[in-house]
Amino acid sequence: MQTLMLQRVDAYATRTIAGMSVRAGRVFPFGATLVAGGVNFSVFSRHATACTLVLYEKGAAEPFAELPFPDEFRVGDVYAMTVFELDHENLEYGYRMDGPNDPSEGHRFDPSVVLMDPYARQIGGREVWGQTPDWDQAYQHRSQVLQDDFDWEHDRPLELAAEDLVIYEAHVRSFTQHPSSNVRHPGTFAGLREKIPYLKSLGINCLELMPIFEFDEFENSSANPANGQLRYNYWGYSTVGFFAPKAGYAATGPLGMQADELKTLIKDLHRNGIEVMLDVVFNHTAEGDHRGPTISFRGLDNKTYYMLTPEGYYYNFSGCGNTLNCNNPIVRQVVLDCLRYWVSEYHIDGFRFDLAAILGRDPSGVPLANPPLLESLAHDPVLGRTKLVAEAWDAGGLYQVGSFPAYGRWAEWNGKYRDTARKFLKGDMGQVSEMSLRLQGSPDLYYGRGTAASINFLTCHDGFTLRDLVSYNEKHNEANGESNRDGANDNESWNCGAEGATDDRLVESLRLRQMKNAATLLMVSQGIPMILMGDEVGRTKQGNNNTYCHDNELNWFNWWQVEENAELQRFFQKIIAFRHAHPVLRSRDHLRHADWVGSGVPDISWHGTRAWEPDWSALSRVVGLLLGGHHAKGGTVADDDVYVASNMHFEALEFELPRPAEGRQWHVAVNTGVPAPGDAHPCGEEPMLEQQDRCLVGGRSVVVLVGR
Amino acid sequence: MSCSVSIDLHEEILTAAIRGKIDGQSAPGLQLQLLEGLGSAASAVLDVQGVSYMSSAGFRMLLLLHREITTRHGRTAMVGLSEDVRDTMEMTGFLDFFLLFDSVEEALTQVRHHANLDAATR
Repeated sequence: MQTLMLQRVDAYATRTIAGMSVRAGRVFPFGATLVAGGVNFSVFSRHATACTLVLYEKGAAEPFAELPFPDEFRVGDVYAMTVFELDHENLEYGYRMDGPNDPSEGHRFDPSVVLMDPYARQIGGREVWGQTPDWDQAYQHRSQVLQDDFDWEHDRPLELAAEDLVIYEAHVRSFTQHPSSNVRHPGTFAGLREKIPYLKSLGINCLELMPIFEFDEFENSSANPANGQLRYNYWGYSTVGFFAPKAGYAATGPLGMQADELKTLIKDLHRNGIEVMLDVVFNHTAEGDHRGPTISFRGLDNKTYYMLTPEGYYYNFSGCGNTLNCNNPIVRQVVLDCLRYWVSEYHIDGFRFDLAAILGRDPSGVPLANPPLLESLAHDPVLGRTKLVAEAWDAGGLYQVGSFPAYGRWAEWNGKYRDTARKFLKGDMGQVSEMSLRLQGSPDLYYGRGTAASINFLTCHDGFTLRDLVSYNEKHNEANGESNRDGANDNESWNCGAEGATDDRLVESLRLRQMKNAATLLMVSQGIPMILMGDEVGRTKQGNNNTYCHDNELNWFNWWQVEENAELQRFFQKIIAFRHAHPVLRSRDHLRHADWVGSGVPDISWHGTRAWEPDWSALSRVVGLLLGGHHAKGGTVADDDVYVASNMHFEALEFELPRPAEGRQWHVAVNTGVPAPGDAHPCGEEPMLEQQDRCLVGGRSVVVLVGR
Repeated sequence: MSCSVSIDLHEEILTAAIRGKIDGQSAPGLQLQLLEGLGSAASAVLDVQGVSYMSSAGFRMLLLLHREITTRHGRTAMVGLSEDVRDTMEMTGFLDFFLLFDSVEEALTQVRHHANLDAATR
């Protein structure tokens, strides 16, 4: 039945400006919104003296109309106007802002520049990845109007328990751009969607995407002196528009349907039980320092949006030229609006905040004890069930791993897990004691916040891949064209006896074993494990630990390796399945080192080559970990006992075994010291250990037993 | 107008042959014609063989029509979808809502079959 509705009185124009029918607009929401009969435009500027709305046909060099805002269309510091009879599908818009141009006072107004709307929900100008922009075009990043009425049917964020996540960090383009990917639209959201069955079979349940907010791959692009190839802003850690998905990541970007394509991907991931976490960059913008382009914020209200020195230059805590003024109330609201938008409109499950320590600095850069932005995000109603993860450091030297202002909500990329696990893995002495903390969810850092405050990882997009971690002692960044000066020097890596590619089979087999060891340690640790895209198939970046600029094989996932390194890939599948099968590995709270359910086995206990006698000495390279299955998930679910013997000594050692709970016997789930298929057994098919009281663990090997 | 439609009503099923471009300009008018043509019918078969281009507004218009048909417990079928348009609809999630056929006759047979099944189970 059709219901007749009375038309709204404000669906009529009150006057004409520049030939367009308009009326005073609504101040909220900011941005361009479809309303009855037209489009409502609303933009903030505290210090501007005048504002003009500039309208273009899609892609046109010159606007078809410029509409100065009359005084009565301004409410406070907000300019709002509704324009009628626009073909919004074929429309692009921007603003000219007039005001003082006095950098020493922080103002850089320039009405000759057309500015992108910071709330633009769709942005044109870079619709096809890598297509050289028309640099003669004055207006490069062009605000568009989005019809955001996607049909989600019954979808919503999955709200999986945080401690049950297995995160996979991936880059949209890199995942399917390689010719081996065999997808119809390589390098796009649609291409990624075709690979969902792969992600599902791997067993991950959270896909963390490197930045997908609109960015400019041509930002600071330059020819590489090393090989003449173009160096891009490839990873995208430099936001142009916080509300718009990267058009160049959508096969349908040229049709302006990137939002629908991304939403379809997310809906399908959810249907397959996979959450979506976005890597978001709020610490700086693509406008750089005073020499950078004026795209939006600088021209709209420089003094509000950026942290400025007393002389009016840009503070650079991000290492990228400028620093967003996150604890200014206006900017705080932008961040909040942005995240609410992505959660409600795109059904995003969580966010990882790049260089998040910056978000806790005041407008002059001083770290705050109680940062309003972080507190607002933690207590926001719309973000109430959203995962919030901080990269708890910045480029200005603020390191907050374990001390990030958490408000009971925030988790952190645990940089100390990465550092300790790497050192332990390569057999460094003096690591056992700290490694035991990392295996139990880093209570030294997160006690009281729960294990899920710790995102555990050995590798991420920054630094070596797992394969390179066991293949290189030194970084090899020559391909970046900076004479190997860029990238971190403290990689805590070990090449296993030869630097880089080798046909020495002993070296290669040790590398394979070390990768399995790393995967095992990660998957048996309390906290949330994170895997870097391709680590499961031995992806190499040829020893380059800073591939931010390469649109080539250095970053792309090579799908042929799924076959070539099938043994490693199967191992990853099994060890991930093992984690999912055993809730005892996924405690929500930190363990108590006590048998508080009276099962005869404590929730967690430590061992050495002698049961119940851990060797914490500086010379030790072994640790035995026993988890009592009756304590799983706070004693609420039944599980096997799990015993993990890690021997990072180069020689085989016999481990005396602690007893499992009454009536149970040890079965071998994993032994990285033997080749496939004996390296990992499917759940339920683990062979019983012949001698129940001892177990030989090979040099640089990990054995995992289940007591059932 | 960049788009035209000829409409026919067969036993409670609307058949509409659409030609031209369906975009922000033509979609609202087309939607009105299709809804009028639908009258009290429950299902629709849209012959889009003659559609050279469909924009976001076009897909949305078709989905709106489908939502109206869903309230009548009907089916929406499309015939002669070009490979490009089909690909776009697949990537943007619109394809899932429609039944696809190669010919109008086949579509009519199947939609009638569904209607009979629905009547039997109701």
